[in-house]
Amino acid sequence: MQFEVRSATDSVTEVVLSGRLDLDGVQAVQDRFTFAIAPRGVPALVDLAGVEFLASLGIGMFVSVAHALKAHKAPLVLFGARPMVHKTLTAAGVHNVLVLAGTRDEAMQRLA
Amino acid sequence: MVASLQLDVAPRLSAIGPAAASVREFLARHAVDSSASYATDLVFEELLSNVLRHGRAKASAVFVLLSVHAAEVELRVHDRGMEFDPTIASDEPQAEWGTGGRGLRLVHAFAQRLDYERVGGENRLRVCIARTG
Repeated sequence: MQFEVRSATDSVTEVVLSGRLDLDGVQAVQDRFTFAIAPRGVPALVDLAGVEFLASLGIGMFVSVAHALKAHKAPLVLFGARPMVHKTLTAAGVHNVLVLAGTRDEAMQRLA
Repeated sequence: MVASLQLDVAPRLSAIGPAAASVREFLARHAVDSSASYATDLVFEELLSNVLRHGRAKASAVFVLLSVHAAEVELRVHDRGMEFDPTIASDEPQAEWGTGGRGLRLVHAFAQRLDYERVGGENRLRVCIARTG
């Protein structure tokens, strides 16, 4: 599982995840993912294009960070998910707490 | 012809990753399409995680039998923990912002059918996942 911060400005944090967000993958990135986004208190974009697999623990990681940003009225926007990863997110019933977008452009629009 | 893979997964979380890798390799070797493979991988991870994280299989290995049929993938999971019926149980978080749970919801969403029985102190779950390719 790989994680990197693509950019961090005063108005938005953008990060990239790739690999498998299973039990081992979440344990590998959760702290770095959380600390790169939550303390900044600004909207965040998460590029999921490279994520091959998403389990419920990974969804919990997203919900936790989205909850932290909610206190600052800042959304966590996930974009670029592959079809089965997108299906996992929708099946989990988290559409009320996470913002899902198809492309990066759509994700940017959701921040406006 | 039915191809089968039998696994005895040690009762610790670190055993899930290698076991899941064996499941994926087996499905690829038998030309299971990517959607059904993903669904089986997810159901396997969520069920094993549920059994092991909630301490339902403290001492004994979890028995897994994976079978590839013409129209579906069949996953059997047997554990000797306390009685737990995933066909009627819920692990939904108590609040919308809850970070745990949702695994059983995913199992139900990606499986075509779940059957559970309690036999001789053992939970026996059978899950069928449709092959679409």
